[in-house]
Amino acid sequence: MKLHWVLVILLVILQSSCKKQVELPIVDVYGHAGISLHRDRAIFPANSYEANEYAIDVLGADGVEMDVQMTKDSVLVLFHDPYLNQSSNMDGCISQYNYDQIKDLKLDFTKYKLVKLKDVLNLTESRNIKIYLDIKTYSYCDGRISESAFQYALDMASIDLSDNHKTHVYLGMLDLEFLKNITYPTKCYESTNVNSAIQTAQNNGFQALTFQTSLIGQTESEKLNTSGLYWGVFGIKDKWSIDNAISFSPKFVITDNISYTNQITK
Amino acid sequence: MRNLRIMICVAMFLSFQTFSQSNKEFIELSTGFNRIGFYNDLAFKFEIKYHQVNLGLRHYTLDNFFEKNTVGMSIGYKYIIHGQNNKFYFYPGLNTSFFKENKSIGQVFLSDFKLINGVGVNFNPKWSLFYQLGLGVLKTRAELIVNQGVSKIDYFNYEIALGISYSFGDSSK
Repeated sequence: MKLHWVLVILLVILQSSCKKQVELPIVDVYGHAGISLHRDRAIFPANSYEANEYAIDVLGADGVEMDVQMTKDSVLVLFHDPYLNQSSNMDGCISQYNYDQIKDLKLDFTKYKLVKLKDVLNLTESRNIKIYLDIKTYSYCDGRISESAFQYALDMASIDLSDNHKTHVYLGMLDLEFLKNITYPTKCYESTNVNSAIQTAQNNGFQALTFQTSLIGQTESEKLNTSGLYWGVFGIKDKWSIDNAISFSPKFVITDNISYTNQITK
Repeated sequence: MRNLRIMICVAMFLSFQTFSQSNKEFIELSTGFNRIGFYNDLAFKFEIKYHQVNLGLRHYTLDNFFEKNTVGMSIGYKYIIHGQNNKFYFYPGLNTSFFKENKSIGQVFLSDFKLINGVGVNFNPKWSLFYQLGLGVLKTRAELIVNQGVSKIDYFNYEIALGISYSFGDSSK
């Protein structure tokens, strides 16, 4: 009986030592809103300073994705939801308040406060990692935000950044006209159509593209990988969807499980 | 890290001191879940009267924190309150565990300190089943390659666990 167990253990050891060396895809792993947008996975509230710091320093993300909105007095802050009462102790929209009026807003009703984009950019520069900014160009309370006010706010937020680090900051948005009119070194178009997105990016000099992962199949990924563009997917949380997304060899993924995504890509 | 090593040494010393005088020994196997992910824990326990000290290994599967299967050290103390007919027991206690993982960014250390309490049922003098809840703090320390810096982040942690315990000691000592 003992011999039987010894043989089983030996077989397990042999099996694990004979694993094939699989060639891992080179993918930049971005934490979704820091660690995760989903409350069941997030150690700290989405888009908090602590979530970004934890994703970078502890979980080892290559980059972080942040949701950016603009206040009434043109300060860029990190917040995901269109309405404040969806995940904070205040009502209305970010665009209805000056920064000083909402700086003590409690993210996810916790002690963690609203963060200025500028503060997190300084953190990412000190760690030399990449950033994907998901810019919310539309306020549910006030309509489309002003392009000139946003340009000013963006310039103010990145005023201390080196030119080199600015190339690590991807400015992403759905609004094509808005993106065209903003001046920034690295722009990323978020689209729902792969074919037209490649054409649009090439015509307008955008460096990157993002897609909901469900829009990507083998044909789409081949087109994107031959385009030479820096492209990625978002909306991946469980292990199956992460495996599926990685199988298309995107250049980056915005994930809700940094550790697992790192494990299969590094 | 020096403090951590001293704590581990003191805990091990106390454990062996307890072991040499213990009147009952156990092996305990449990599985649980907390904010790091799912874990398995294998521990040796020594009991003197109502005091139990346990020393063991805790294994985390890759999930929210670890990028690979990681084994760390676990140390704990429980004060056992037996029911009237010795069928049930209740315990408050303390548990700590320590881990280290090498990541692409550098080395990450994780220390988990928790207050625990649990309820167990003795099936017979040898076997028992227990259910445990815990609350505490997780302390992380990352030694970063990028700027040779150290990043320390702490946060609240909970724990839910279920386990079995086997007694192999002589209670008549």
